[in-house]
Amino acid sequence: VYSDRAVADFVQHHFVPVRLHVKDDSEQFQRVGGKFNAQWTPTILIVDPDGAERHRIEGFLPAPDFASQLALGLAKSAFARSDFQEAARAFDEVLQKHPDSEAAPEAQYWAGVARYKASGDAGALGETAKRFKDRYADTSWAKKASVWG
Amino acid sequence: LLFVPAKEVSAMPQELIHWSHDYDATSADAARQKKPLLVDFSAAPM
Repeated sequence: VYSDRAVADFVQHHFVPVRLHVKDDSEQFQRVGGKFNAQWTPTILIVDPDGAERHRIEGFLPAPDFASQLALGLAKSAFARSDFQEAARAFDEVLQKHPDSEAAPEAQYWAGVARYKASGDAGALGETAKRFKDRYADTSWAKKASVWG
Repeated sequence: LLFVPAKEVSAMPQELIHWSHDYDATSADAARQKKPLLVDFSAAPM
């Protein structure tokens, strides 16, 4: 997937990438992999500079799916540092750029939460519940949002 | 030395990421740049 231009550009623009190879970087693979409990390859983590894990991808994904997961993880990172306006924007971007991905319904859910956190207006949650009636209605994220509508 | 036929070399995808292989240095760099790290635990041929 790292030969995909869109994936590579997204990674280079938004992340600081480090690869720890099971053999070629064995000492670090053991130490850092143990810290994050990485038990399989490939395991890809989005980690904030303070060492907090924000998103995990285990196993291979084709480039379009991988790109959507990276975008979701980036939005989660903004959410975790309480930058809720940026998080809402980033979750919306997942929906706009990857609407048919498995990341999309999760992004729709968290976009609503981020808007609520940013504004304190519970209407953001109700609006999100309505959106789930129009799209992604058969997902677990729609069930989670159903209590808001 | 391993012999790799030319057609297989040409078929191997070219990675476009500039990877670090030093986690601690990358963490410090990420803090300076205020960006998250992307940590890839890999067993793929390099």
